[in-house]
Amino acid sequence: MSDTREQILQRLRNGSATPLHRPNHRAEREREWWARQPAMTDPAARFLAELDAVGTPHVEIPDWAAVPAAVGTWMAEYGVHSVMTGAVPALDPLRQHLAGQHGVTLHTYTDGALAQQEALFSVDCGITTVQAGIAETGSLLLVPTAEQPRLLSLAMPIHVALLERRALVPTLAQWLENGEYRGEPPSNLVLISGASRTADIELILSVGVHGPKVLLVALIG
Amino acid sequence: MKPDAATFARDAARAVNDTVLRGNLNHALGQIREKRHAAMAALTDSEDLQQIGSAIKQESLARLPELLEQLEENLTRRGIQVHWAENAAEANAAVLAIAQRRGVKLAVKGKTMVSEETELNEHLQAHGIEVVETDLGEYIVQLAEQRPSHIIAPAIHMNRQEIGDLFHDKLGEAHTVDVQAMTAMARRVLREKFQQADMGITGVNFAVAETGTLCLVENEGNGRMSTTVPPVHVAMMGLEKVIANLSDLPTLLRLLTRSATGQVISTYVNWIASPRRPGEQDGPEEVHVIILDNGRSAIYGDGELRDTLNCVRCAACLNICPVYNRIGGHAYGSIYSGPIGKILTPQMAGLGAAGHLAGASTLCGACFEVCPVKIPIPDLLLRLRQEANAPSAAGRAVFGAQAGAMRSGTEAMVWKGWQVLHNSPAAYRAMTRLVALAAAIGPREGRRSLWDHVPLKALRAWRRTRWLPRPAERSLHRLLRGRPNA
Repeated sequence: MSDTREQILQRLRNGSATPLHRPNHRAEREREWWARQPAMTDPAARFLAELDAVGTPHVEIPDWAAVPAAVGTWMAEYGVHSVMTGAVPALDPLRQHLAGQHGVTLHTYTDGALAQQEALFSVDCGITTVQAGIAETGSLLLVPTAEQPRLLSLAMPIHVALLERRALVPTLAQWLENGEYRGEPPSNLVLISGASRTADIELILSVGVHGPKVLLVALIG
Repeated sequence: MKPDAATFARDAARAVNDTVLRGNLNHALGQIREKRHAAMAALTDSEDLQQIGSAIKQESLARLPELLEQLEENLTRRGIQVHWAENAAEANAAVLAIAQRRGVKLAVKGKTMVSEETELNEHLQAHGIEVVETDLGEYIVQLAEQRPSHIIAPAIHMNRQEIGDLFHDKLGEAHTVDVQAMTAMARRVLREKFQQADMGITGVNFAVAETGTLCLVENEGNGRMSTTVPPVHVAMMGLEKVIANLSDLPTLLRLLTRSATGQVISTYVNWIASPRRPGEQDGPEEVHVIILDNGRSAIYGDGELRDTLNCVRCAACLNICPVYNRIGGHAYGSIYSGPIGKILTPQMAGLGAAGHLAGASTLCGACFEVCPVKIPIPDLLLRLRQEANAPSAAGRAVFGAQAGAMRSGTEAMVWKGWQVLHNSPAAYRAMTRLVALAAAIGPREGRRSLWDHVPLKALRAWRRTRWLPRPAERSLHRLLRGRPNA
């Protein structure tokens, strides 16, 4: 295998002696292109408009104190009987509220995922916080952690995402420029822009293939 | 799949006359073209952005060997195992070795064109490993025992009636043509597979050298499932997928999703940088990356052909191509179809085996217009035609013995004769007189003529739907000579 590696790399090294055959003014072009793009005056408005464009329901709430009521309303509206969150202190008030909500069973994603995989796939709804929001594309940027693992935003038919307004950035490029991915990268990062979907049959949109069928976003602040 | 010329001619003819296929393609490709057009038109100066995308890929390719080493170093440092594969057989063997070491019985797959290129499924299945495609389109073609006919919409050649029949036959489900219901069936079946699987296999859209990040783009969530639920994840990538910096990614994503599906972004953009870390609750224990060459390093060595490696597999060129639109993907006989397939397949499989694909083009140039990374496909088609028809001694080094593989002595002689006639005024005048004479016995609309008896197969095929143009009885030269001021 290491011979293969060396042979491939050697061929590429020999080949890379071939110079670029077209002049490449990328940096200037990129700068000029961005300068010509219309400025984003209201990132939150753009973000919500992009959510609307892909059919993602959302609410705007003033602060974290308003989260339990807003989420509780959704639980009733979408007929949620079981809900799972990570063990995140910021979610404690919400968890207390849900634990007391009639007809709703609250689970915590704390034990090894494989041990409770079946349980994971049978829960109705997962609730997560969100690291950042990308206004331009209406994307939720999640960095799964030990407390809020990857499947919380994937395995359940409904995903509720809690995003603080101050975590909105205009573009993914801007988020990267802010240095958020510097240093040791997280094992996984995911941009989520709507409920799971496909158009593999006759280009007809069908929502809810392998991931959540419903994505609900609460914009906080 | 064997992309030989005779099979291509037969399958293309069959496809053109298949009214169901033509209807399915017309319906779906028309929509996908409109979506792409709307998404690109909504950008200010999208053409400039395509040029920037091209420049990004060119810059990364210029540093390819160095970037691959950097990628390997960053991935390895974080516990992702990197395997290099010279060809399809080595790539398949590497995946099989991992599977056997881990005792894998069931592997689920996200969409990966590279695994189609290597025919990985067949290899794993031959060794007793069940492989299940989980992208809905891929799952459909797997159930139908076919190959994908399109890079991003594998079942685009089928309609919902056909898929309903298939699900009824293969899954024992009640027959339906309701797309939402069929999607739900696939969800039910495949969710179980995700949970049972011992291995997840996916492709890679971009591999970022600077950070050692694998970026996967998808809409369904099957890619996330395949990279999260099974204990082992194997990602397969062509060696051209590496890009230098994370800051290159936003522009390429912006171009890729708009060009592919007309979306401003796909539903999931998944960045993977390591296996599950201590304390984490999910994600694979092992992550492997297979870096495949399979002819790419040879393409790389030619400054002109290297542009082929810009490709981000968006399929915009397929959707716009008048040839693909009429024959669909299967007729090409190679997993990469449409314009990109016409340049990629002959370079990978050889001009002898697949040089004819470079001829399956009208050179209309639409593919170049829509290409998000500006691959000059028409120019490369001409280059390949030239190489395939060159006298073998004149063949350029890159194709070696393959140069001139399609050269026909008869055709070369015809052109030689054409050259002689057009180089000598006397010969040219003699020819035009002869042709004018022939006009007297020439074809007229609605009347058979001597031309119908010319024993040339190509001419007969051409005549089936056309009238030969009737030469003028007096040539332009003679007419001009008769004018007072000439």
